[in-house]
Amino acid sequence: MEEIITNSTTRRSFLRTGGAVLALPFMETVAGPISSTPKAPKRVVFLGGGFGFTKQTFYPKRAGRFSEIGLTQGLAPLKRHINDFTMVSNLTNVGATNPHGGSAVYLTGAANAPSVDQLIAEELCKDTRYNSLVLSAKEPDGSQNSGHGGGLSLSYDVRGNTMPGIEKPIELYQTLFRTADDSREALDARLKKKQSVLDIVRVNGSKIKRTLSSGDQEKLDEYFTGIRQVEKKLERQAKWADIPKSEAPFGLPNPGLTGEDEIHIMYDMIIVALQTDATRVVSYRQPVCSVLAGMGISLKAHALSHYGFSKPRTLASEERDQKCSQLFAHFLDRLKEAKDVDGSSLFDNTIVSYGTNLRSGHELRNLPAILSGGGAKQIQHGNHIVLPKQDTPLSNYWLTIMQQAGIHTDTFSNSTGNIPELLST
Amino acid sequence: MSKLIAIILFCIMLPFAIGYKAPELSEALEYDLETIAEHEQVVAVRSTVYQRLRLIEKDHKKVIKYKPRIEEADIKTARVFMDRYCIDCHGPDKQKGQVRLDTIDWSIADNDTAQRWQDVLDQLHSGDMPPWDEDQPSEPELVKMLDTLSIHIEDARIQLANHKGEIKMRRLNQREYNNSVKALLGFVPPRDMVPEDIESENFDTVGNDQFFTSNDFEDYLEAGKFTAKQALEWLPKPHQEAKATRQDKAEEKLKRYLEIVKKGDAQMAMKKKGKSWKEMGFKDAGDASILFSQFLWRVDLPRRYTELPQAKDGIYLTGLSNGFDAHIARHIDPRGNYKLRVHGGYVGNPPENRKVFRVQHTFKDVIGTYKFTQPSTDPQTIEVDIPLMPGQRHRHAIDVRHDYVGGSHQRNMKAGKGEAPLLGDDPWASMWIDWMEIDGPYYNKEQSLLENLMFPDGRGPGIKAKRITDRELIETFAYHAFRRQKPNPEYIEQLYQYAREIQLKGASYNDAMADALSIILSSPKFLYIVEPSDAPTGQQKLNNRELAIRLSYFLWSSPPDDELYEANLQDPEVFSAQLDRMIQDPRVNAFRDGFITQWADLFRFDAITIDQNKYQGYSQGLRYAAKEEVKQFFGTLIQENLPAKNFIHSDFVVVDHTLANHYGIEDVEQINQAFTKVKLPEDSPRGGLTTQAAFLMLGSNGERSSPVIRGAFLQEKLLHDKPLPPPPNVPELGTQTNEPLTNRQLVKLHQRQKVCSSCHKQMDAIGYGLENFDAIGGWRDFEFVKGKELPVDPTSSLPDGSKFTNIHELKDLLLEKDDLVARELVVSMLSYALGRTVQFSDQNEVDAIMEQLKADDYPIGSMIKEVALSQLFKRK
Repeated sequence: MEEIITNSTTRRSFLRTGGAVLALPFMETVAGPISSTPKAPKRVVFLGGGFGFTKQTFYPKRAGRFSEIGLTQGLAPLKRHINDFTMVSNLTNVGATNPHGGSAVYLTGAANAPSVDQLIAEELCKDTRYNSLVLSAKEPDGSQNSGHGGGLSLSYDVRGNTMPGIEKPIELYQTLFRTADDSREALDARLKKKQSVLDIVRVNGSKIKRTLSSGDQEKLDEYFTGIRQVEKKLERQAKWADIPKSEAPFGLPNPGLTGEDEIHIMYDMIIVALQTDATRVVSYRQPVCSVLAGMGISLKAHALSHYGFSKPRTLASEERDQKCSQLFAHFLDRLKEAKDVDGSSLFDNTIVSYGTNLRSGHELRNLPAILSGGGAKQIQHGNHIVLPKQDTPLSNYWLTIMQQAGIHTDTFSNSTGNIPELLST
Repeated sequence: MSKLIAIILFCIMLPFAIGYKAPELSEALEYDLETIAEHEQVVAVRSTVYQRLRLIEKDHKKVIKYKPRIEEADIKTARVFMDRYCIDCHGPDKQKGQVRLDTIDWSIADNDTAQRWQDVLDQLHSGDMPPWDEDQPSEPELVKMLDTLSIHIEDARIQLANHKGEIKMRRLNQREYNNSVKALLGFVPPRDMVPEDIESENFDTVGNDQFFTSNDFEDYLEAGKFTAKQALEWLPKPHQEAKATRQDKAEEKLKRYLEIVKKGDAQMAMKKKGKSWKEMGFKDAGDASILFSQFLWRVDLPRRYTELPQAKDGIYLTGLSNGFDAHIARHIDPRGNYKLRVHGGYVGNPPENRKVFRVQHTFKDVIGTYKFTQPSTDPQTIEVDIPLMPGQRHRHAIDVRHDYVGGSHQRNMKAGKGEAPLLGDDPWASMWIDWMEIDGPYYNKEQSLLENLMFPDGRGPGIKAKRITDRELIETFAYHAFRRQKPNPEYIEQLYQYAREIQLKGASYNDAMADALSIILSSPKFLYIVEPSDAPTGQQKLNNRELAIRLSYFLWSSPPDDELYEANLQDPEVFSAQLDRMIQDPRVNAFRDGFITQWADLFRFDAITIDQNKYQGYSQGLRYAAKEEVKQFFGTLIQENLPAKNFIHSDFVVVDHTLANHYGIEDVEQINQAFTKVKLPEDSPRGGLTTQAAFLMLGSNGERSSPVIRGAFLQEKLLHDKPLPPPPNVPELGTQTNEPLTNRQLVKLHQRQKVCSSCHKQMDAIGYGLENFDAIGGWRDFEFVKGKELPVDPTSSLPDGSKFTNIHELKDLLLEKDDLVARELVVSMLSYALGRTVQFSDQNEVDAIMEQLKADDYPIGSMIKEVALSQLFKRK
């Protein structure tokens, strides 16, 4: 009943030698033109948007190629990407039962289970500076009001615990880009100091454990899991201590950014993170209420989700849908503009998912699922695919994405198989 | 699921694969396997945890029993429904879509079965089943079926989530953490450094809902370090003499405005002569055009200010200069309290809400609103206690400003032109401040642990700090941080060595010690309240120390004081005497605020944006007062030991001048500053939680009142009957209209859909009774919608069918069931006190408490005592 690592010397020496073990990653190390063309890695991005969209005007009525069936009013801003995204209908997250829960189990399919992005990150991000980037806007109205439900972000670690996210653009900026106190000495000192702190904490905690009931054990485990994660982060930091972070391509973002501006800059920084290979997996729980406020809509996300009460509310809801599509289109623009390591565009090597648990109002069935990016080699974009089976588990969709990302698995959460209709033969 | 375990296992093994070897691999692995098994169990529990008890009154003797709400007869009816409409296609003969429904067990014993019934419910809700070309159930049949199934599933989920009374080890919530740190260090950590409590349906004391992340650990470390360092730096500094510093900025302000006027006039004169923007001294043409197009605003208004009669001697609060900062002088001592004195009066004959100024920290925390009762010609001095902003990081500054600026932009422009009065009935300037002064510091008598260590005999001239070794300091600090538990000597040694080592490397003494103390403050023994037990749940008594801690965090949200630690709480008389002492101590406000703000959902209050165009009377001060009222009202119930039914109706309100004005209570000269208990006239619709501004604002979306939210709240809190969560998969209403509809008509659209109506019929109906109150809680007889004046209709009925025609009758009906609000309060208080949800299995204890309180109509003060005296509270 002790911790995995009891011998502190082992850990410390590991921290010291860690840097040498790592094979150098290509992006953040290779400055200037790349001599031999390396293979571009796969990236996966999960975007989550709270409550759903307007039923009548967002969802396509027919299956088929968008270039033939046309884009709905809500999807219209994606026109310039008309052949580069896919929409899937008839997916339902069987784990989501509370319509006010928003995106609570969106990426997991069940409560307290690992999320799809983390499982992919375990494979794809072994050699990147960050295991994954978990971004989660924090709104003054609380996550319930924003349509996101409980949890701290879209991501749940491999043990099924909710993961804290990076909440503000400025935090992400400081995570990604070089800062003044990034020198090897400063970092070493910091790492070493923190390590001794953790050692002391452990001495204090270990004695309590023996006398506790199972419920209490569980709580204490949570605490020590937290400590272990701090350690893991330290280990990774130690590995990367000699490799400088990339220079910031733009100035420090204004700390007060919210809503649309926040999404914009977060999108831009996600691009840089992927391009410099700081990580290959990103999840982003997006702000909702502040986007509405920025558009001059005084309703909160929940109130707006019940748009059926009046014409003005419906119009506001439709306007919001378009705003979301616009922002998403902007993200795709940037992905296409960004050059990857092998000369292709970042877009070609990335899988982007955009959606949420709710269709509209309180409807948890047939949720919105939009997919883009050339990273999923077997998926031909440009279609609205209506799955033959109603309530096909959302987990099947995630499984398909996992497989497209190169993960060798044939199951995820409560999946019953992948989605053959998505894959071109 | 086995796959899941495989993945988890894989990931746990990953660290081994990529790097180090742990010395005791097998042991570690065993440990982790156990953890996984536990996690599997909690998956189910956590996902549906929330408490809900429903009672059914049996016969006239009012014996109240909990029981599952669905009777055998209901199940029978449901079976008939299924046989008739479902089983033909989903039964023994046919299994369309591979669904078979006749084999699902009606007694829901696991989450899987619950999920299968949920699927059936979803199909019925969505109207997809039965298919359109098959036999359709009648509306009453369908509604009955939906009701039965929803409640049955809900009951099953509550049963499945049963924690059998176990109290999970809980972490100090934010409030408790702050108070605990303050008791040790004398300082509260900066608010933005302390990990926030998670959003939960339950109280912030419920351990089961909390979780701990790696960020939390690092945040605790940082917050602890910052605060410990602050404390150590201030520790040796002697206390300062209190002194008053007066500020009179009148001259400075007048001079500034005169300069603006002079410059503006000169530029205007040049413009008339046709000079270029360069010659006039502007940066560019744009700057010039701004000044001239807004000349009224930018020059004429300041001009009018300089013409005001007392502008030389003091400052007017106007739209132009709506307040000034009373910066607390430099060298402020964060250990002390300060007073602010404002000397001035109102000018002309302004409306009541324009005689009010608001005092706030620069970071927008309102300290209070204060009203001038005398004119500026006969000025008065108003004294305000300035609490230190908790965890102040920056220079301390106080704003004094208009609470209600009033007057639109147009109105101010008119004042600039001289077309509207500057002073008078509809004044531009409505308050005048001669001077302000800050007086302090005044120190609290109570010392922090750290001060007690260094200054055991208190502070004073000539008293020197006691010499104490570093090791001693660390050890004593840890002992108290761990709530009088001896720290492990090895631990103390390591901390000591750690502090020494970083000092050797050049860190200052304060830095090194703060580092060491911050580790103690991030330790599980400090952060968690641990009550280890070797007996089954509920079998073992808390020992004296544990009981003192539980009691203290219940009533004070703080660690026990010496007296409580040392009292023999196993002696019933001593226990009772301690309870009385604690309830009378001002620290009980931590319970007052902590409990009632959560019980009354006030955390949502700050998220509501009031439409200020629509509600002209709204101000920051009103918002502040509305929230404060709920706490002050509850405090009055505690201190005067008044019955629970006061939540439904009280013949008094506890208000300040802002709320008195808002509620239309006249003759309130005596309640200038503090919240005061005021008796209401017989016919007043106010009184009770139901008509308080905060509750009514919560029951709105900031634009319109919401009978839905208000009704649901009353049903939950006053009738102890929480409405079911909204059903998933109900299509959004398609009905749209541009007709002007009253709220009531709008809400009724909900009910057109049968799936909505089964619940909304009930909760909305209660809410209609409050339609005479607008979104900020003002009284109205008419609703203004799209320029039309529509009469409000408050006639409606309770879920049991009893009818009411106005707020008075609604309250009377609710008063007949006052035991329900009492039960809701008892259950909630128990949950808050124990740190866990209260369930079916606790019913006997709840009944016992209710029985004790019944004779006196369930008084609140006694209720708190009975909760603490209960067997549940004393056991683990």
